[in-house]
Amino acid sequence: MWFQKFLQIIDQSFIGKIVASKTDIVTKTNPEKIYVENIRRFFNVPYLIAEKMCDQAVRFGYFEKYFGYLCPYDDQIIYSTTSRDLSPEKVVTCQICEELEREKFEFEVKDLKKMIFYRLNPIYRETHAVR
Amino acid sequence: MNSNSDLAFRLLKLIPVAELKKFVTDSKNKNQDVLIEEVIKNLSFDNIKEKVISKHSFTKQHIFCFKKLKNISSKSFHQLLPNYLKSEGDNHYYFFEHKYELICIKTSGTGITGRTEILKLNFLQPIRINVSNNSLIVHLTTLERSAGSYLDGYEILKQTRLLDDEDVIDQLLMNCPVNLEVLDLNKGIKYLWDNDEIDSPYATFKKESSTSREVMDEDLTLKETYPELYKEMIKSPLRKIVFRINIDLVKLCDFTSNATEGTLAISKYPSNENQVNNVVSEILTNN
Repeated sequence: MWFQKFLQIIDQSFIGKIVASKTDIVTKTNPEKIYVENIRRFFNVPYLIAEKMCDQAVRFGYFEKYFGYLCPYDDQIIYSTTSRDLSPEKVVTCQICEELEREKFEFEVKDLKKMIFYRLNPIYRETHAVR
Repeated sequence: MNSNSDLAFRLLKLIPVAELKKFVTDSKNKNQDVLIEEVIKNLSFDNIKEKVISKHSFTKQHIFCFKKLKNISSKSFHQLLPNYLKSEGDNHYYFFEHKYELICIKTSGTGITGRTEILKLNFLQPIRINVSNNSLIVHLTTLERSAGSYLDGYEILKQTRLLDDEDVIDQLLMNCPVNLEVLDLNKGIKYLWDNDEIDSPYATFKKESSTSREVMDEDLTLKETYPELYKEMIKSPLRKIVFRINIDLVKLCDFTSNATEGTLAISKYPSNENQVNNVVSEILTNN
């Protein structure tokens, strides 16, 4: 009885709020796409530290590192690869730009912005969190 | 530059190569330009226009949907747009003449002066108007994005198309003897989406005080990835949305729509001649 009361007090305190917000971040993070910012916010650390943590997770095999190339119009990822050494002349097609009849819908990789993301190694995936 | 041969060349460029091959007896190993030259050599300009109209369902199109409150007499169709060609059942065909103005510099061949020139290229746009009891659907074949690709030996500095598709529709509305209202397609499109026949990688929709846009990464689609967001979004007026067909890839083709404006666009060649009509019919039947 007193133990339950004790847990209730903890839950309603600042400790409970921190745990709740962490749980919220975990459940809303998609294991197919983990950004450095997700890690930074979860651990409340500087960006560089979060980046190092992600790269360590890759070295230990927990994460896979991906390079996502962004559409210059809408900023979504139109092509992603684990390869760091993509030929700069490789051409990728943005299907959405083509369907919206934009003048340009084929882009050389060298002209596209890149965004790094990580995927949880499938061996470690137990639940699939979606928004 | 604007002879019947030139106009015919630009018209035939609107037809996919697979259909163009059916206009010649031996199409083996021939590219699009060679096929077109052969068609122009063997057929009269009027024959070519008929051939192009017969393949209208295979072209990329902008489609405008209107509610029609009264009947339109068959004579009136001759005057809805210029260059009326013919009527077949519920379908009425036209060729609308468009002018492109290009500011360019000659870069090769004779007569290079280094000075800019203004050249005018004419294009014929095939149009089909389909009329039913309570709707009028205008199918405009999408014209070439870059008219300059037809000019060899020139560098194009600026290109202007003097009339766009909206101007063509304005002309039609002015000439139409009955009132036409934009047909809101929200209900029909949402029906297809609710039933998972379509899904979207790019969606714009109105919220109470803002316009929201979702652009999905790679091959992902909105309803499948964000079902909770979909439930909220489907209550709102839909604006510009790109749709991919989920279920029947033979019957329907991918399309873009602005449901609130009553417009559709087919930006890739359909794989069969019924797909475009099926898309329109599925939406209107459930609207």
